[in-house]
Amino acid sequence: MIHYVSIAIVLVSLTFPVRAQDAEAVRLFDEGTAALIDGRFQDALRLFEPVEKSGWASDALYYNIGLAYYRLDELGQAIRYLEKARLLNQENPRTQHSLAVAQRRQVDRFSKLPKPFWKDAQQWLVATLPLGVAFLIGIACWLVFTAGWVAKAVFAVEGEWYRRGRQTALIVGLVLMTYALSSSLWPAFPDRSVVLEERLELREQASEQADSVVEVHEGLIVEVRASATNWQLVEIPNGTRGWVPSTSLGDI
Amino acid sequence: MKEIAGHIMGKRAIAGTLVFVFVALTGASSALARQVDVQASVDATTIGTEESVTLTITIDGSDGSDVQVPQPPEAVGLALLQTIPRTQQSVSIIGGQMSRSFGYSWTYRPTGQGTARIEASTVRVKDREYHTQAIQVQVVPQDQRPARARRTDPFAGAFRSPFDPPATEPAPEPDESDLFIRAVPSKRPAWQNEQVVIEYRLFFREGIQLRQSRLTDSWDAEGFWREELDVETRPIPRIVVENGLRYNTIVLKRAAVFPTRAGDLSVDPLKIESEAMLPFGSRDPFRSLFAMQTRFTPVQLESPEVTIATRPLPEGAPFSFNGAVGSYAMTARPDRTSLEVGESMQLSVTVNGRGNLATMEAPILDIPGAFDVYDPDVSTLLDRAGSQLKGSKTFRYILIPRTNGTFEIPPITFSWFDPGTGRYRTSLTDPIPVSVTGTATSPLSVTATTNGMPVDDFAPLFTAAEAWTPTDRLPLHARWWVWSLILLPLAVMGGVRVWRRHQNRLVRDPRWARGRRAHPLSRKHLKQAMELLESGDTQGYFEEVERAVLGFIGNRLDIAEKGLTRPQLDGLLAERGIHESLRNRLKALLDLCDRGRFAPASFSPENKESAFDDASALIPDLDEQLDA
Repeated sequence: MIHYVSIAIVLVSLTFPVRAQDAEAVRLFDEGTAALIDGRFQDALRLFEPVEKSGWASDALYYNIGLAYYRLDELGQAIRYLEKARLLNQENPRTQHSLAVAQRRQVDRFSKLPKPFWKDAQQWLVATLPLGVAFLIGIACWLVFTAGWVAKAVFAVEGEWYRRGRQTALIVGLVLMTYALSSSLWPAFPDRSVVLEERLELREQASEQADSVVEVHEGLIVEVRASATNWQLVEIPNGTRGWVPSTSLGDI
Repeated sequence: MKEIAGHIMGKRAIAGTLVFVFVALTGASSALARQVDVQASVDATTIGTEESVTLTITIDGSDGSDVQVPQPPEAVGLALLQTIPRTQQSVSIIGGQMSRSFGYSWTYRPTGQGTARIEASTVRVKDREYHTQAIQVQVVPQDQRPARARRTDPFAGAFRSPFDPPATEPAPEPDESDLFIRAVPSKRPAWQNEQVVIEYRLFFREGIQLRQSRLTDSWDAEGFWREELDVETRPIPRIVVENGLRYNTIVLKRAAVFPTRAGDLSVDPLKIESEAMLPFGSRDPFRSLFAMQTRFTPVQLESPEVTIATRPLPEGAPFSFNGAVGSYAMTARPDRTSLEVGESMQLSVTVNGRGNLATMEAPILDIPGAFDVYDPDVSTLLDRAGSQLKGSKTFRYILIPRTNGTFEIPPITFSWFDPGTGRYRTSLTDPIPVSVTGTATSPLSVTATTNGMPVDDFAPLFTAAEAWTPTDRLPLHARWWVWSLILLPLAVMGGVRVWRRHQNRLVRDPRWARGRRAHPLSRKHLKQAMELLESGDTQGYFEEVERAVLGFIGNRLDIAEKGLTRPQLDGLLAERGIHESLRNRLKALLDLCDRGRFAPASFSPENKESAFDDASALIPDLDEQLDA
């Protein structure tokens, strides 16, 4: 018994630094927000930076960082952080409004390449049923099925409804777990980045000497298709692909 | 009267604007030259065999006092009529400055048809020599010459009554060498949108009078942006020598044109209608006076068409280039740099220089998003007085900050193509820091959307963050506990299945079950034996050791071991392949146990424990050989 108590004490003590880290992040967030209110945008960004690096984030943090960048006229970074905020909270009206305002200043107006219907369906599904929730429900069903199977095997529990319930749990569990893991392996939303440079040439090859494919501008959201050393192959909304230096992009 | 009375009225217009030109010229003209300039000219480059030609050497900038009388130039095909030159002098006061000119004239008569030539002459003014150019004169048969050129008898009028009607003479008509318009572009070829000034100059021989002049057609220049430049409304003719002939020239029109596309672009000819009176014919001033109304002849003049080859602008234009070509400078000036939220500031960006300011677009501004920026108020100031169009264009922006803070208006960029160097140039202003104080009020209804968000600006910031989430999460498929949760039930089910099969075999196969139980039972008996030994029960100890060994054999062979004699047991073990030595070890152990049960006092503690050790070693050896 003494062993179990010792383990519990150790586990509880491990949580103390995490709580301290939370408190420091919240304190810096408040200070950064105060700087933002005072119009000290650079100071605000300097205070927000360790919060972001602490491993904790919130849509409010990303929104305020995006706002500071917008005030400093860094449109690419502003759109990048607003997109991050939207990923954490899709329904936030402030984020939606401000993102629309920022994107109106974006120069590029590309047509959007139609997506396959299943991609839309997958994105809708992911937005509706988050992967974590789906996996937890699925694993719960899987555990229920396991318990039922063990009960049948060990205690010989039988019955028609019992059998149906066991089968239903198995099917639901497998479907949800498959959905969650497959969407994790092949994300519905591909890796996206934002162009941070005012003007950026997409090139045919990963070289500054390669021919230019198209010129894009700051704030354009691109999908990352492949990576090489210091270069990334990106696809713009109309389907055109080209290589750009990694430093010219900011991941979302 | 030797002074020129010229009167030109010009009115700027693109189409159908009247140009009134009235020029009265007699004798020598004024000269604007302030430095000494020596020119030789003739009164006609084509004469008949019965006509004469007068050569005049004009010395501008001199009253003749410091001029050595030049020798009459040698001539080929012409004979000099007098060696002493006629002299003439003129004084002009223009703009408060006086200028003088002095002239020497000789008259030559042709000696035959063909090309005659008056050689160059040398004139010495003060200590410097000036050289004129040779002049060629075509001598044609007299019948090919118009009547006006017929040489008159200077003495005929002397014997005629002044009251006699004047003799009828045909009205002389000017030819192309007497009166013409020349179009002079400032440069050819030109770059696209480069300023090219086309100057239309009227050339007319001395003595010609013009009146009631007007444009006959609208002057057009398709493919060009056009801007009229100012010309003198009362021009004073300037004397020039063209092909040996002295002309008066005035500027009729000056236009700056900007090619809007590349290629060969043409400018229409400038056409005017006028009435001209030539000085030729009668030398009688009274007759000339009376014949004034009838001797003006309608003339139509037309400049040649001007074609300008236009080159496209070269590649490599900077991103801020928006088509400006010329020579420019840019300035940016804010009316204030410290203000409160909601107040306005004016930023004036002025571009001045030479070029097409009318179509110039605003320089690129990158105003911080915290400012409301309204369309600029544009004012253009053009200076048309010079030889090129120049001026300035000012863009006035109104900026209203919507939030507080210290901002910086980045450098304003303006690029243009400089045709002089053939390169693009870019002008950058200094960044403009702007300090905005105060706090933003809640958006007014007119500047807010239906959901309360400000129009065209970010929503307010978040003052608190409630939902914190870790950002270093691995993807679902990369977390170990995910796969553990999936595989653990499988492991449980597998374990249950194995346990279930084990249980079933224990039930269905008693022999297998006894064999599975042999080891545990023997270990149990040996443990009890050791406890008995420690408690001092030697007899019980040996009984348990024997029970452990025989019980193991009985379970492994699935036999009732208690009813067997020692030979039977040995026989069974031999049948199951147990080696004789092992059987002997078993026999020795059983004998030892018998002695221990019946004569426990004869054993030392070491002998007792050796029985335990023998049993512990014997059981695994038996198990091994039974499995073999």
